[in-house]
Amino acid sequence: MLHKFAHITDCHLGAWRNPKLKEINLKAFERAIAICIEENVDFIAITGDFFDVNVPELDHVKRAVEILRQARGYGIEIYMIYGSHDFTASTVSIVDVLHSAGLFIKPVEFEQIRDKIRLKFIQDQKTVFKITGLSGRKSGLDTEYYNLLDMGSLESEEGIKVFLFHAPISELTPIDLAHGESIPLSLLPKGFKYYGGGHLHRRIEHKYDDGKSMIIYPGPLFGSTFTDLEDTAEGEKRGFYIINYDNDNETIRAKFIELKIADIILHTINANQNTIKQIEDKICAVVEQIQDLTNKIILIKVKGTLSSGKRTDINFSKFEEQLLAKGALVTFINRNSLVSPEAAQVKVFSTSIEDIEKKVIKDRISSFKIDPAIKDDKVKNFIKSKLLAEKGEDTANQLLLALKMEKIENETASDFQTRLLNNAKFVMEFSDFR
Amino acid sequence: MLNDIISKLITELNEGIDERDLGGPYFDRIGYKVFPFTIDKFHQIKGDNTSIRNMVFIDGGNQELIGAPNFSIQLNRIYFNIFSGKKRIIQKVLPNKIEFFSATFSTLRNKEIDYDTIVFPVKDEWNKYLPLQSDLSFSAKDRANFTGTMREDIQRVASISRRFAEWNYSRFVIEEILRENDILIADGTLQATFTHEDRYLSGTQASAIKRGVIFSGLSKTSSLFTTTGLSLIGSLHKLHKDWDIDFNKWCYYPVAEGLISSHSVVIFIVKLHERADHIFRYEIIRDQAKSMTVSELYDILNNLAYISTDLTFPGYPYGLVDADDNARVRNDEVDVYRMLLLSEISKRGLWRKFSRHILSTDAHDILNTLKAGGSVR
Amino acid sequence: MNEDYCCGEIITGETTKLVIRQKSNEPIEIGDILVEDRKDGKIFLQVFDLLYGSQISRLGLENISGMSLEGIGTGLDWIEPHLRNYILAIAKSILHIATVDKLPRNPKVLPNFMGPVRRLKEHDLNFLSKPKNPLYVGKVRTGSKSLNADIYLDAVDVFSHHILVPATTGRGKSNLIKIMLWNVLDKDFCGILVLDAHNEYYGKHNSKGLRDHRKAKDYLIFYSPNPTHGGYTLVINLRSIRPNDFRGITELSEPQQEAMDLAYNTYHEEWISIILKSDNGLKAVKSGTLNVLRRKFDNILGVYFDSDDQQIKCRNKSFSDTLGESTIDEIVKALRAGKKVVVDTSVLDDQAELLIGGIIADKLLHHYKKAKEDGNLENLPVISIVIEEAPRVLSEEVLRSHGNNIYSDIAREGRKFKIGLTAITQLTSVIPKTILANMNTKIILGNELAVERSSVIQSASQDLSSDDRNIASLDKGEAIISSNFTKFAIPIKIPLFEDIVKDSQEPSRHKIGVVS
Repeated sequence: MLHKFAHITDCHLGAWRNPKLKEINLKAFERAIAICIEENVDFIAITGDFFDVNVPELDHVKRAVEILRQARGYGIEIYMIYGSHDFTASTVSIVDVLHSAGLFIKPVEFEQIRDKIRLKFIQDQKTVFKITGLSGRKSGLDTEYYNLLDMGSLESEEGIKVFLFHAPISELTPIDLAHGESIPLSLLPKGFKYYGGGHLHRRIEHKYDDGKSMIIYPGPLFGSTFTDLEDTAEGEKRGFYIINYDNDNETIRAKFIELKIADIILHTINANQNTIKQIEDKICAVVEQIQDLTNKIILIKVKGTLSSGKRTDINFSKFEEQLLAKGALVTFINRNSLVSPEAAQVKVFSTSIEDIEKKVIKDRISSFKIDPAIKDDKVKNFIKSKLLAEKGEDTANQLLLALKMEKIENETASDFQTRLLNNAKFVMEFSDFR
Repeated sequence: MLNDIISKLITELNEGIDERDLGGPYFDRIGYKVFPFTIDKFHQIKGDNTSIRNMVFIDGGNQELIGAPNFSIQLNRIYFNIFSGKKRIIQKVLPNKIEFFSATFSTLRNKEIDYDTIVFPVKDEWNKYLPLQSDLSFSAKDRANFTGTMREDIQRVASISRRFAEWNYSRFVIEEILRENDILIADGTLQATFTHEDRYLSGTQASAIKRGVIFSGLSKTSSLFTTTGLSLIGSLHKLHKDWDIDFNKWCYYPVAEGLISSHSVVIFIVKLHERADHIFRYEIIRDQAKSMTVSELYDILNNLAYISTDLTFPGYPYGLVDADDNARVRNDEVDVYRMLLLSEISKRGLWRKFSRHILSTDAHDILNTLKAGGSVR
Repeated sequence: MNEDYCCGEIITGETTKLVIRQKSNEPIEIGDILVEDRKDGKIFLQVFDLLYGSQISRLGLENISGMSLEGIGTGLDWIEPHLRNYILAIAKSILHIATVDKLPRNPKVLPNFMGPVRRLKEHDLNFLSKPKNPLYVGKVRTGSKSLNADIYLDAVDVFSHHILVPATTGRGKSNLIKIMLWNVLDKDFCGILVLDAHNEYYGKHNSKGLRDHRKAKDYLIFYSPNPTHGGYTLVINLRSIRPNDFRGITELSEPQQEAMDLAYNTYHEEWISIILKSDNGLKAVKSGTLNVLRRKFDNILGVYFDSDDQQIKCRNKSFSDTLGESTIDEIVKALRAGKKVVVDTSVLDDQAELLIGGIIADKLLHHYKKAKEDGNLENLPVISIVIEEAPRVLSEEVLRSHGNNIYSDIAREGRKFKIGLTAITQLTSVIPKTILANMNTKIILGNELAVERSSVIQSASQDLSSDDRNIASLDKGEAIISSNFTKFAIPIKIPLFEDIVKDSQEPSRHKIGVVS
């Protein structure tokens, strides 16, 4: 008997300030669900970061709900776990509301037996699959929870099992995505037929357990950062997976369904030791050179050290407008890696803001030390556990994420402040200190 | 050729030692009552610890530090220990060891050479243990004190102070430490040989008798003969074998009795262990020995035998081994003191004067030192 | 001195060879530390030899022995045997603690002639202080007895200035390393990489290991080709390897080196894949040279190109062209964060093990050099790389035939960058003196081979010239620490790792707050 399900991840609905990119992202999800319906999949597994933030703009929520309901309308069950973006424990997240509304099943029920977490399986009604999983956690806690899993119960469960998770696996993570903490492969419970992963914005397929099972990260449907778009332009395919399982001969096959909602073109300009004029000329040449950019996303990356002048001396907007005028759908000139000669103190060079943020944080945290005037051991221990070294970096990154959310329409300033503060407090885990 | 000579030599020697007639004990001086060899004089010694007495063993040693025919500076040492059975008794009444320097020099007095000795105790409080200076003057004419050459004379005189000190210190030990029935064993015979010696010996004897302490002496060497010119010790060995005596730890008593005041003793010959290669001459002062029963005498010998079981010298009392060891003045000690003396002599500018005499040693000394590989002073 | 404590008396000798007569019933052992109390302080003496002393001459003793052996000594015994037969201990002065400032210094005076000596007590060691970055190695040992006085070395100093652990098999090397690692496991002033050639440090189901530490989950990371639960798979992506990483690990001819350099300069991270797949990518290189390189890659990395599947495959799963891209970076990151990384190399060949270690070491050195240029070196933890059978990379023969390698580079200059080696070896004699001289801490375990002991002694930080017998008599778990950072060569007793684990705190049980 054949069974089929779809695996989608990291939709990051609501990401992008640019409304067009936001829309493309949503469209990618819409397209993916439409294919799932066409393919008549038995169920859809979504492995986290469904929304980009825990309380996204409501119009996006509305659209997402409509799309999900479409699938439900065709009798396709949806199993969804949370990621690191779409959920926060301090307040109710929109995705919780969707769950409460019965739009999807969260296969993360568990019971605590002594000091172990025993995950419960959900038997899919239409297929042979038993599904369980673990939502994404703040960085660092993933490993802790996986270590607490009652592996015996997971591995001894009879049946064809699917494990959904939202965490990077160290052995499979590409080097450029190896920023935060990852879990070792050995922490995944053995004996599952399929391991559906989320969080890594790259498509990764890995045959596991001597080829008897698969671990797959589908990657995002479109992407939520310019780095994602650059990767796409450089050949990274975006989409999702449809998994076919033949119960009779117990074989599993994974088919990647590529989604190309918009073409992306990337040009890189080496501006090392160039003058402002030279750089402008080069950008100009590229702008002129690009033909047929209708409805395409045009990315230009300028990198290097200026021979003189400042980055702000270049009118990048002019070129972006020129490209838009030529018909480009969206245009962005990435100048994060272009530095002026005086910016020698800035030792961080990267092409992505997120990367820069992480590196600057790392740089600053590395020189942070406990004030010797502090004598209280409780305070010292708290600082050590939250603000120093790698833990300090994690806290800073999480705070950035927690404070990144935007004010919701009609939300008062006071309510917004409270929401931000609660998120921040949750990150700092001040209750632990008290 | 050489073998022939050796063979002839041994033949002569063998013929010279004629054991067919052992004779009896022989003393070359008058004043000794000797007893013929008889089997009943062999008595078995048990050597067990059935009756333990305190035993003091005392010995002395001396060595010349610098000397010349006309003077001799010596370091002298007297040492004693106390054992009860085989167990050493620690006491704090008297120092176990006393030391003194002695300076002996020849003086012309009334046209005769006299030898005078002055003693210098290492500690002032030890002075009382030492002989009186007046007792340490001897005339060269008095041959009782001397043998051989003038050089040998000065050395012999120099050693007399040590001998007198041994007797004198023994008296203190008897009076202040020992009790009735305890035994004091000196190294050597209880014979006063030198002029004035009997003054000290008799004083000690009197103290011993008064306190009931057995005063005795054990000699490592014996030059006693038999009437047929044989060694007395050797003869007794032969008799023991010839008469099939089945005990191997024994005393032969009495050999003789000394009747003169300078040597008033009863003489035994003792073999204190079965494995002993040596048998020794043992004497107890006559007044004490004659007043004891045989069993009391055997008890004394039993105690001696009990402490004569040391592996290093079977048959010789361990107390005397220890006393000898501690009383001995070693060559390395001598060197230290010699250097001090020579340094003082030199500091006072007296070296030329002293060296004239030091260097006029008998040529034999030089030859001896050359043979030994030592340095010539 | 209290008579009760006296165990001997100095009777003669010189500064490096004092003769002590042992009090009867107070046995002195080789390695014992004795103390002479003086007005101006105390002098520590260490015994390095024992002799029989006797008042009886040799001939006399032989005779007595003969009598006893042949049964003709019945009824004879030793009277006062302790007075006449005794033990003489030969010792040397090792330390002088002055009363005035209680500071230890090298002794410059002789102990008192005929001065009594006593045994070392704990309070004598009050001058030992716990350093700022403590590395526990064991307890002070005198002879075979250990005192309740812990010995700590400053981890930052000793790790960065290298540690040599010379010992023959079965003397407790692994136990020593485990003890050291256990005590600094949760200390982030040091990051330690352990190339575990026998998979004995992490711990298994039937044996205790570092994973039993209560802070293991936060500070200990385990890599293995077959990891236990919680361990990471040891898989290195081919893109992580540079031509330079083979330097000193395998012999390479000039054409081979040039071919590798050309491939790397042209194809960068894909250079190994290109070489494996075909000749077409490197037309300038002879196919014979490429074939040799392919064979070397197969031998060392276990990688080859399967032309049927058109895929690069790995025989030992420790190298891959798809997996493990971030392994090296993750390990380096963990070490820079002061964590302890154990890499199970027990199923790998020597060359593969050394290659992996070398890649990590090279990357670390690069980071630390950069940090030094930027003025940030002091903020980084000191790093130590624990490597067994050190002559594989540090012996004169290997360095001569294969040239220098990253390990010898670190041995020579790593301390400038706070990176050091903890090198374990049975054969110290084959390591060049220039490298030995840089290894400023030697934790010397027992060694039966005279030539090895000699080599260790010659390169020690203190004068161990009279300690040959001492070293030869070291039992399992006993060691001598000779270091530039200790005032004297400290004899230690290393506790059994299993006992330490047993005594350690149980992991705290806390309620899990799982949010679903």
